[in-house]
Amino acid sequence: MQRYQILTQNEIEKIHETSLRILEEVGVVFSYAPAREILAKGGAKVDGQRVYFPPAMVEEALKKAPSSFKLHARDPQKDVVIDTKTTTYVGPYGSPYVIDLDKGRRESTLEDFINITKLEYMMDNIDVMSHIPCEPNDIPAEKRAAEMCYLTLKYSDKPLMGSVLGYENAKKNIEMAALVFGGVDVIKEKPVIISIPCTLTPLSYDDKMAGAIIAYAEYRQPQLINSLCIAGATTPATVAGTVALQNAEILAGIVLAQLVSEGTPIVYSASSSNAEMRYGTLSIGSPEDAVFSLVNGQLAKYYNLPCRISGALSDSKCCDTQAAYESAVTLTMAQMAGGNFILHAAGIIDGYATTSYEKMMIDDEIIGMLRRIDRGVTVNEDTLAFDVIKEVGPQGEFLSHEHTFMHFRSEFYQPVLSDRQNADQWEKNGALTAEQRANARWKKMLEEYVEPKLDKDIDAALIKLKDS
Amino acid sequence: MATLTDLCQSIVTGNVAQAKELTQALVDAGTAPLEIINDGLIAGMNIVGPRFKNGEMFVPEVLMSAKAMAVGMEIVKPLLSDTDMPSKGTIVLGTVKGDLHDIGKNLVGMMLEGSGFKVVDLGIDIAPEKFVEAIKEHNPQIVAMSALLTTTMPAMKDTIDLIKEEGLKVKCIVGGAPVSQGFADEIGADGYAPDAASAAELCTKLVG
Ligand code: B12
Repeated sequence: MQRYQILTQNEIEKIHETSLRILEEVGVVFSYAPAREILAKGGAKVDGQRVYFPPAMVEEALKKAPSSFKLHARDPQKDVVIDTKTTTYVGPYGSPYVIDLDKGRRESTLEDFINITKLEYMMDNIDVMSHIPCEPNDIPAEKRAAEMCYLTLKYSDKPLMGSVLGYENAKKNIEMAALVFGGVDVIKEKPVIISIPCTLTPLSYDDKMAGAIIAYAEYRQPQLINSLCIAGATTPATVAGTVALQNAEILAGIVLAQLVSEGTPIVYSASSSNAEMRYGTLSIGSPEDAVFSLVNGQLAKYYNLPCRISGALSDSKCCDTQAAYESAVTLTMAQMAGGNFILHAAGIIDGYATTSYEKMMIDDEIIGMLRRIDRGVTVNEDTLAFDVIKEVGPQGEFLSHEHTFMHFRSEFYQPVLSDRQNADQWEKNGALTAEQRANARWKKMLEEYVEPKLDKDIDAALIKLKDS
Repeated sequence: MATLTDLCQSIVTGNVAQAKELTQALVDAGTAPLEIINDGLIAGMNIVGPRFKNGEMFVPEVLMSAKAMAVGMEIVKPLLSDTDMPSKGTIVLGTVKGDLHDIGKNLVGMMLEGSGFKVVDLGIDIAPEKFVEAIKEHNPQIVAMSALLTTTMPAMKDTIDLIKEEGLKVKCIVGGAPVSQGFADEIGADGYAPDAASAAELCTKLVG
């Protein structure tokens, strides 16, 4: 649900019109020839690698994408509906480094990949597996996409994301996921794997991403058509200019996907932020990131599409106070903006470059708090509790009343990490900081992890396909 | 009357139009070209560098200063023979094979130019053979490689290996978010720098 409107409808329309102008007059580069062919056939003007989109073609495509779809899980109880109202939280994505309190920062390995995959599975607040919570750097690059897909299917029965590293990798990931659900024909009407192809900002798509868009659309699997602009570096320093450009990039990808397969599910996905001008680097824990989230949320609603917004984001290099306050602000804004698919909802620090084990747990708490806020307030006779108030009367207490007994669990959020004991108790229990408690909690989760069942024959078939 | 101090100031403030005007005025007034370069244009950049390092100036401001200097250089250059032209050296720069990230590389390129190097930017997705070709063509003192993906970092080693195999005399430096000093040592690079400002310092040290 969108709770914060930062722009007027008129301003949103102006952004939309500017994006259409960019698409028509400036164009977008598609280096991938098959994508250009599809776009040309669909009515775009192609000049070399540059593709120009007539406004009507864009508006037409936008109407075809559904505003709601269900993403199926290995365990049907964990199916997720992705629409324009609810919020789905997803784990960290793509970091080449991990950090924890015990071993410090290091290149992530297969072991880290498996650990964080298990944590994503264990965390009730994570609804969809990101499929790449950190890079398994010790697996040869050409085998990674299939390996990660297999391991995600094996260690979790939640819905999953899939590879976007080119048409072939995408196709194989889709086929692997399909295997578990009864084959590629079944999944065409039953999405089981979601992906995030990304523009090469400004205003282009590389071979891999355009290939992935085509692959996912061919199998009618959902995709987050994503643009990560760096305001002041890849796009104008002004929020409005960046959003207009970013929106143009996303619309171009949506057109391609809809031309491949009309009605293929799309999540409007934007994760732009600003450059830190002291260094020229990307900043993600910034207030501007939150401003972008709010605008993106409104744009997606304008198109009546589900919306991806990130996340619990931070530029801090470790799981410290900066990480916590930046994450709390950015994640809160993502929710206020009406984000429906919140990627990087846990673990990310260091401008997306590092996943922190402890911060997985800190963000779990923030998500829990936001979910509670999202639930809002129920007002009815029972909750207004007039009779109870009358019964207890002035100078009474409610702690021992049955009404309290009946309601406190559903009304109050129970923290999983925050400390609320008194100071003496806290000292007696070791005077642990939030980071230390987070450290203990993820270790406990890994100890308690039990692998979900996977049919032996399916497992064997998956391994065969993975290694083929 | 235009003075060298004014010119220096116009570089610091990144006033491109003024830098052009003042350089032309100084040339017309008969100031020696080398003096204009050293005491006006480069003097300005010498103020900009430290200010950037300690956080008083920001990237877009430094880039505008570099642009102001370049405009002045354009005017003075024809008045000098190639050998008189002060240049710290040539650097061939590119993002390695399979990698399309170029924001960091571009920034490094602009900083290097700003500190007086001639930079040949090959672009993105540059295969080892392409680097070698460019080295043969431009004869640089340094070749600088950028990679932002752990999957493309090995291409840095491939490039260095090929350069060595071809027996080319050139210093290799590497950078990009996932790259570290340790990795640079491991693959036999001559240098690593964590950001654009220190990349310029590194290159200055390597050619000095
Ligand atoms: C912006 C960005 C993009 C943009 C790039 C736009 C462009 N025109 O360059 C887009 C969106 C296109 C993109 C695409 C992808 N990206 Co990307 N991207 C980033 C991001 C967020 C910031 C990079 C950046 O520009 N930083 C700003 C610049 C100024 O900093 P810098 O590059 O580090 O450069 C500085 C220093 O490193 C140094 N330096 C740089 N080069 C050199 C060279 C020398 C010689 C020296 C001395 C110094 C030096 O100086 C620079 C200035 O101070 C990083 C995360 C991060 N924080 O690094 C991910 C990141 C690098 N990307 C990542 C990924 C996975 C991808 C994709 C595969 C994503 C996808 N699913 O679509 C594709 C791959 C495309 C490809 N084949 O290259 C991962 C890498 C994981 C890994 N295995 O290594 C990261 C870490 C993010 C993540 N968690 O997913 N990306």
